[in-house]
Amino acid sequence: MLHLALLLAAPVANPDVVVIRADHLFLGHGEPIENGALVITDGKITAAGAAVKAPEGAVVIEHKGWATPGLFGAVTMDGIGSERRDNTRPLMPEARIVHSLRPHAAALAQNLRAGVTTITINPDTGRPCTGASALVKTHGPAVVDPELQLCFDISYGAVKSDEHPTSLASLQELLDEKLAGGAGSFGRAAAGELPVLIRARDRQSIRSASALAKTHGLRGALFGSFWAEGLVDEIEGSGLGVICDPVGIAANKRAMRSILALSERGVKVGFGLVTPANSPLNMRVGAAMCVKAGLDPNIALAAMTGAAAEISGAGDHAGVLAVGRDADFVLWSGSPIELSSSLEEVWVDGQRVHGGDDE
Amino acid sequence: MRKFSTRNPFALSALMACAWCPAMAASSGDTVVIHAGEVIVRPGEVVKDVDVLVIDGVIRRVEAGIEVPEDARELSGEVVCAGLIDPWSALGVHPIEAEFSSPSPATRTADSLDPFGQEFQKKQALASGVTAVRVQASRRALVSGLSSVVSLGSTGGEDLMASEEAALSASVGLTNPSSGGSSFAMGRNGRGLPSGGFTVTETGPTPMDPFERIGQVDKIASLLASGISYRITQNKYVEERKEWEEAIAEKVKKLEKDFKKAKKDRDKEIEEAKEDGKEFKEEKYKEDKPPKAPKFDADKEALARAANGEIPLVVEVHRTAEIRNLLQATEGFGRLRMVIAGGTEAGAFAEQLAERNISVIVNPGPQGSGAYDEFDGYDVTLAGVLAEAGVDVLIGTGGQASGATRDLALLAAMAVGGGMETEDAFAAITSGPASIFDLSDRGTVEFGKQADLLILDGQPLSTTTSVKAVLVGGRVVVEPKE
Repeated sequence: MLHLALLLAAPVANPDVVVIRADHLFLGHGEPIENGALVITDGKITAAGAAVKAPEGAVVIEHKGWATPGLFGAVTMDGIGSERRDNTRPLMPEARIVHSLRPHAAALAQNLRAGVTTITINPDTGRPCTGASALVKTHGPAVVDPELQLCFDISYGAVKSDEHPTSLASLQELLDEKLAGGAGSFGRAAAGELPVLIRARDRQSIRSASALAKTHGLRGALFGSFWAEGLVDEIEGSGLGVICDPVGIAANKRAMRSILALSERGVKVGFGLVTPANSPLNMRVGAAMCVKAGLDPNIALAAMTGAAAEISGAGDHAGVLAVGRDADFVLWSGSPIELSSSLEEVWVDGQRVHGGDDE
Repeated sequence: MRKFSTRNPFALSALMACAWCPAMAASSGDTVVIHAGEVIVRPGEVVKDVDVLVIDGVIRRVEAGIEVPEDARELSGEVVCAGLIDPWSALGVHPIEAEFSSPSPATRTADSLDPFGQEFQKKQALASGVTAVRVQASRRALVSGLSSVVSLGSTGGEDLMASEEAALSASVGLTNPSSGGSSFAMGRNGRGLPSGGFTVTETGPTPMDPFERIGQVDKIASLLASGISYRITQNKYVEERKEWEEAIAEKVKKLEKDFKKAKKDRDKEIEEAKEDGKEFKEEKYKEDKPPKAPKFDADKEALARAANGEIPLVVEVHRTAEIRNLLQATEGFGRLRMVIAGGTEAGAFAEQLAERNISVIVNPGPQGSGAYDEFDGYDVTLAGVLAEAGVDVLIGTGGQASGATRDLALLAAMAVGGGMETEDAFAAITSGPASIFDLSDRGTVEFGKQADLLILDGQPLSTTTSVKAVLVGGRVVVEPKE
């Protein structure tokens, strides 16, 4: 009866339009907006910012706390079980990990509950070129992009002793040749159409990856920040961003110092989720540890959202709250940089999919 | 959450007796006054705009407008609180000793500590506000021996140990990460233990099956029982010895009274024996034979102390079945002060743990799905669930990675994110560990306590807070940066 009365009192009520007002609204980059609002129409964001007017009849939700884009989980091996690596060939540029995706994998839902709404699913490292990663929404799940980045590993561990290439030098030569050749996915990467993700586990491979990107005009990211301190010049010159190695409890100080050094020079950084070795919560731990070590909290927030998505080649689909984008966001009790903040609600495509009154 | 009680009121009252007087302060070189925007006196009790007076390493006053004594060093900051205590750390324990060696119950971690080891990690921990840690070597052994509480501000001297024997530690069901034959397994048959024949290699390098793990619970229970019977035997001896001494005294008294006659009789008997060409036989008294003292056994003594509640027993245990069995097996030990470490799946036992006054040291570090099976079901909400039910929850860094102690405050913050009250989480790394491990002079900012103090620019559990200065025993060990 009460519901009916409300409906009658508001004849223009439009349940397809939802307005979220939050004390602090972080859009995925820049500074958080105080008393910001999001307007969501049919699952898409139609307005976002400080001076946003609620359309007539919209359902208005007041949130005491923070609203941020759904977290971006860069570099996961979620939902692919043991189908992580093909050891038979060094180069598999046309392989697509999306074919291994098991939609019911528990890890996807676990990400969602931690506020991670979009992930990249990557083939395991350990071989020079392992094909393309996929961009997947953890609710559903829904494949957003089946060929997101072309994945490389040019660290020492990717070279075998009994199969060409048997040295880092010949690996570099082989990749130079393929990227210059312009065929298939290599060609698309060299033309800047297909972003890359290059695993660089040590100083040597950071230098090689930077050179490779500079020579062939690759765009995308290095994956591996630990040894970046001292190589910031090379990385900056390559134009690549850096997906950071997870920074966990007890992490070596170098891990934080390197990330700080990169961000101070304006290199875009994103925190790697790197499952299954890490829990989805670990990304926030890493952000907190970097902030404790001196990283700007807004850069740390962007490294879990907008910046991470952008350097992963997913900038058009995830990580930011902007007009025309899917309304994928998280409501927190406080800043997600504070580990004492708790996740309250997760929304995907304008629908609440976790938390809130339902629980 | 239950309020932690002060177990040793004597330290406090003793200090009360020598209350501060200005004349004394003027002559003391080690006087510090901290002007604080707020002082977290103890968890949940905050006083605004006060000063803290420290003389000779002890907190003497916490009140507004303290007159600064001459020669006193003045410091100031927004928030002052007690130094953090990591109740489950590996800091200072050599990695080889940390995981698995062959300890016995009386093995003291204190003896394996290098006061100058891991200097870098200690500095980092101190700089982030941790002033004391409980450390335990050989965490994967069934019984790991006696743990120690180490003061991090120490210069390596007398003040290094806050408590040399803070608890007896044990573990149940820890699978070894280096399963399949590591160097740990070789020649590591432990010293034979009282219960007969088990060796520490049973917690060794290979993963155990569930029955083996449950068997470990029984072993811990029977070890405790052996400690108790050892103690009974010891006490019985003390009793018998006392009776014997009394009987002797009685006899001596009687003999002294009749001394002259007795001497005369004896002399006569000696004479007679001589005449007969026989050997004189001295009269035997049953009091001549003292009761036999039982053999001292350091291991059983350590077990007895734990079984009797003289020191806490910390048991690292994670899985449901093992926790259930441990709770059952220890039910009969009425004086046992048990502390569960880890307790990954302890949430289901919250009520029972609260009722039996068993505290839990939670390590809220997030685990990936690739974690060892003992961490299956790990959930960052555990600390909150237990505290909600009234369990005394401590938060520790897990006793594996010595670098983790630096991040203790972040772990406590994570527990808050998982549903624990901020106040409880702060208690879990300050007054809680002090209370559970009998460090009665630490853990709060109160009259008479040792001045282990932090000066912060924000709330202790916040990511954006930095530690401006640290005092240990009244000494500034982390200097404020100007």
